Amino acid sequence: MDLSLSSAENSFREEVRCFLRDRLPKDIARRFARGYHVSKDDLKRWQAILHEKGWSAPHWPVEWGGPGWSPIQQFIFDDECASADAPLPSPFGLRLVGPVLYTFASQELKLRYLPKILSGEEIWCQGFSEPGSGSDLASLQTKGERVGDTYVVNGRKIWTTEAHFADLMFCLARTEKTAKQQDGISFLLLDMKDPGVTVRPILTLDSGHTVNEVFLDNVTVPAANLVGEPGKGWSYAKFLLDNERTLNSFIHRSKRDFRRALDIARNAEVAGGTLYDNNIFRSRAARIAMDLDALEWAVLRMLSGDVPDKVASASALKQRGVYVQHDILDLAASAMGMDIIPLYPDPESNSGDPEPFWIPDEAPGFMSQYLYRRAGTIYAGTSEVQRSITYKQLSRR
Amino acid sequence: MHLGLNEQQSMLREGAERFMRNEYTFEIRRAALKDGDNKLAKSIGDLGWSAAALPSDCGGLGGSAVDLAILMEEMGRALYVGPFFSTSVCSAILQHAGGERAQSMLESAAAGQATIALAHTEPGSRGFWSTAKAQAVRSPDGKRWQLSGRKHLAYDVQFADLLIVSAEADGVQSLFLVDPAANGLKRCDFRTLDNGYASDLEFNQVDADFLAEPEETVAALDAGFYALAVGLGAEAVGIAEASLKQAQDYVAVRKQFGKALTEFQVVQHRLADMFIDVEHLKASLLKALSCQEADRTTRRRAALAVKIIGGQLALKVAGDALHLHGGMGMTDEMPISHFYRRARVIESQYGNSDYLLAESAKYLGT
Repeated sequence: MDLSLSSAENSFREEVRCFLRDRLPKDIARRFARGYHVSKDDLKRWQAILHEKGWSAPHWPVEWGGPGWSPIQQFIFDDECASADAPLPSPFGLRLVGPVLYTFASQELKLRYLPKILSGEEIWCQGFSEPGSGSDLASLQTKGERVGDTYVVNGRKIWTTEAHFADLMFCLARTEKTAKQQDGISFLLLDMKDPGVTVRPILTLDSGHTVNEVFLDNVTVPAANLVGEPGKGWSYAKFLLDNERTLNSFIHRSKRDFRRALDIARNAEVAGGTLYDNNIFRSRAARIAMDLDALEWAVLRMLSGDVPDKVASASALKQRGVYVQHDILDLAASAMGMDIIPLYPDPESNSGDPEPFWIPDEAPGFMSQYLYRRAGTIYAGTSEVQRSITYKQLSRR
Repeated sequence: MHLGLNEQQSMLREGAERFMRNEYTFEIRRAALKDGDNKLAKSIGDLGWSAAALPSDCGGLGGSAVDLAILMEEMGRALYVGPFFSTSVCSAILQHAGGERAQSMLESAAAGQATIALAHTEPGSRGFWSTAKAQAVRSPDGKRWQLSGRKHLAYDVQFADLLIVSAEADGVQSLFLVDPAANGLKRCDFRTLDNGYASDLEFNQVDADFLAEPEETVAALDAGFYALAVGLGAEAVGIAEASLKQAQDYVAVRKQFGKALTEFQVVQHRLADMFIDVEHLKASLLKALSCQEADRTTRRRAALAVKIIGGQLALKVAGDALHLHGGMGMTDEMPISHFYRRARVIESQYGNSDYLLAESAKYLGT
């Protein structure tokens, strides 16, 4: 067992740090740090800079443009990016559909779509959830009817993040009637500019807009845009979800958020000094720091493959990751005191919405994050679904 | 001892519940908040609710904090946004203040004709018991006072006919009355996370009337804190109970895996836990209400307790209810996301749990 980074890994970290210092635009980092939803412009600009360096898809195979990094190098890269307030690239192309495409799609689809995911020229959204199919995703009702060389798609998708600016959607649609509901689902790639696509914004409790409802009315998808085999979409979707075992731990973001919580405390005056010097605050923060360290090693453990059951451990990691995220946000909210109460307009939106005379630097955007991340126990498998998955795996051992 | 409501209190509750159910539906609320419309406050004034908890010598109905709690609980259930609560807290303060102006304002408030707002916390202050840094200086003739300084997060100032402002005078914490339209007073109004109305105020030699001598100030602030803690605690009860109801209704109709979510034991257990929290919170409110006439320390401890337990448990229950709504709980269009935001703000208003716990810890063992 070797539990420290090699000198090569340490110099890699230094290289990433220098790159971020030189090339991450200050304005993008400033906006991302605030915690409002990232704009399409910022996503694209940053992705293009990464692409120029050849670093836009750390986990992709070299054949399709990945840099050939080890899992530990990828971990270091993500860690440094979060630490420098680099926006997390839109995950739908890079993390989700990309691996499905290079694993299962035809050569034609790979050549058509992968390069533009890499460069950030095309942004994707995920058409999985439906109003009646959330936790029970396999009950989805969207239909894809084969008509000549096309599929005609009809249905409704919901919670579609970034659909309002995505160029493309990967989508699950029922193309065959089968006895088992997991069968007969196909994985289709559709163009968001198709006249049959209507996007309705959903305003969330942070008063922001990033998720949408998407109506698909006779959307025409060329049959060539079917990924893999018809009726096998469920297995590709499972591959896609299983492929990201560590993404949902949000370890890197939590480490950064924890540092920010401490900064908020350093700036909070209480009787006899700052909150940072207050013993009760320090004890509480120290406890969270321990969890954060353990979470980081759980991620490293997962990356090394040294876990008793990859599926159960991935669910456990997501669950633990959410607890830690919420603990950190609660610590930071407590440090911010009454300044969490005003509704702060985004300082860069020029919305003209009224704001208080006195605004602590860390306040705008903080509660947007706090509120939006309530969804942590809901998306990508609710806490209940994660527990069921975990137990199912345990019961097989 | 009799823990139930008496006939008059039952009527007050039924009336409030009916009024909110009919006149303040979620849709009416949404429209009113969007337009910044405060029309309902007038109707509430006409209903005499402001008089319920006030003594008869100022035109009140001779009730107690129980009446305030009844009304706040119903307002919590309906997610009411309006200046009723500010006026109630200020009325509690005014009862401990001398002077003609205080008396006549109290009478107007009892008659439902005046809105009074409290401008007490300042930038950087962490809660109700932080010392005011604003300064009051006597005018050269010695008859008037002038205030200078800053007040942060004062609720409902934009609807107010009068402000109660805390400031240091001759080195002691004191309270003053200020006309919201006075010269030298700069103000900016903004909205809060939960759609409430708040303002920041900058005072530059603003004329003010002395409200209470230092000794009375302590008693007045104590009474004000008691009213606000009991009021917010009661509102928290309404929010928690309504959140539980919303969640229960939602999971009864939402089907996944071929059955209603209610049929899953994990969902049932969460609902049961929420009920346990709601009951605990109600008990804490009763404890606080039982201390209205108690000595200062006992009363303050019970007030701190209901503010802390109310803030924490309403947030917990509303958070659980939001979770049980799944993605729908995250949307602005569902009431539960508003219950959650209101609970989030209550926990922090006038000092969050950490701040108030440190205050309460001072009385441990007394």
